[in-house]
Amino acid sequence: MTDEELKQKMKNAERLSSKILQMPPVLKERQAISNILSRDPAITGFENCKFVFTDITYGLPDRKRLVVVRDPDGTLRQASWEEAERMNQIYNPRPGRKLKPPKLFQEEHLTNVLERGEYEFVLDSACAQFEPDDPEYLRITSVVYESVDKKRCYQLLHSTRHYGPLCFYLTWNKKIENLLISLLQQEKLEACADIVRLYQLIHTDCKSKMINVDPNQHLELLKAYVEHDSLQQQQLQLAIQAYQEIVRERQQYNENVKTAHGL
Amino acid sequence: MFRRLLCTFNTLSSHTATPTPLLRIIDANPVRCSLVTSTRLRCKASEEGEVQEERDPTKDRSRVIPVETSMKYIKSEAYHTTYGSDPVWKIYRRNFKGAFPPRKTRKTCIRAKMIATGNPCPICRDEYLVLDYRNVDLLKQFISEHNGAILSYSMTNICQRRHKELQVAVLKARDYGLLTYDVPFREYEYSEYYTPSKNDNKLTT
Repeated sequence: MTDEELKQKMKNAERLSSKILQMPPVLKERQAISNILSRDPAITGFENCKFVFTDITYGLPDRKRLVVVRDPDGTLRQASWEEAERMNQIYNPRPGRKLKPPKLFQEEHLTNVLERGEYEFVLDSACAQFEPDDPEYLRITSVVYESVDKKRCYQLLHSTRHYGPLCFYLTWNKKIENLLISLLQQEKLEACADIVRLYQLIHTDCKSKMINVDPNQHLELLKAYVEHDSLQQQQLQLAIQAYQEIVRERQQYNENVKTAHGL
Repeated sequence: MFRRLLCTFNTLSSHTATPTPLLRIIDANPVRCSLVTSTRLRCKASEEGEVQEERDPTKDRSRVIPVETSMKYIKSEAYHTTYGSDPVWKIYRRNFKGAFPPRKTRKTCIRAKMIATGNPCPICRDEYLVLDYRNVDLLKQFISEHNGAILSYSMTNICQRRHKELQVAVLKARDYGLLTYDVPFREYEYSEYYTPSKNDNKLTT
């Protein structure tokens, strides 16, 4: 390949990878819809079942589609989230989504899958099946992230689209200690600093923010966090000391090799 | 003529010793009458505990093997000496006339709980291979390693009934999360979920 062809290929690859690594949105739990359009008690008892009217205009996103329900007692109301999703799936089926959620997401089967370590599979299935503000989706993702944190297998999610939401969840719930320790063991200081900065952004009232640390000094930032805001100070301090020792020993070894070679 | 026949039937039934008549006429009206045949006479021999047909034990498949036994069997030495590390359908040859096999395999190897053929398919020939959603080790042998699709019966040579059982078992296993597969990618349109208003921009770098 020529240089230009190579550049083109690299550009394409970067574009594809940014598409695959698109982070699923992290949203708050959605509120139930209670929007009544009209009350017609005169129609009561006409039918003993509900009527659902769905707008099937082409090109509308699912969340903007109007779905209304006429109850047997005559009320015309906007459909609830579950009803609207079901109708959308019937008229515009999405690949990977089923009308009835798979049994995989029930508690016992979920724990079974997580024990086998299939985190990415569960998260991908949840993304395909649920909307990001669905309470079921939030429950499943929190269970998965807790399991990952407990077993410290962050590497399994590291290069996937779920790494970002995982870090956000852990930072939001102040459980970043294990993550920081595993990153230190892999000597990824910049990643540690990123997480501490995220922590400072989310929890604006943290003490370590008061200290103005140069953002480029990753280790200093980390130490500031450990001193002031960490909940497991000892373990983190041990990890930092271990890292510093490894760095020192490596420097020493390199210097020894140089002197041995007479440089 | 028909009415007389009806009478004779009735009289016959009242006179005979057997309590259950062969034919029972519900209504005398020839238009509205219905005939009920009693099948009790046919089974009289077995009721008295007479000779039952002897079942060939090698072809008898009336015993239902539980799934747990099947899962243990697959991990056992007996399975390993029989099949080695090949899939169970690897060493099997279909019998047919001519150079090309029929497009579909046979409908079923087992009829009335007995093997009804001289060359049963790879699943029917071994009674300890049970196709169930929990028996993941067996199900994986029937899934292509290249694209995750269920292998066709033309490759595995199992009978149609077992192929349907296999399809059901694989779909159930995927539903329960026992078998993983490539989930279709879900692309998000961020503007659907977040519309930043111009006024508040709290997050600064």
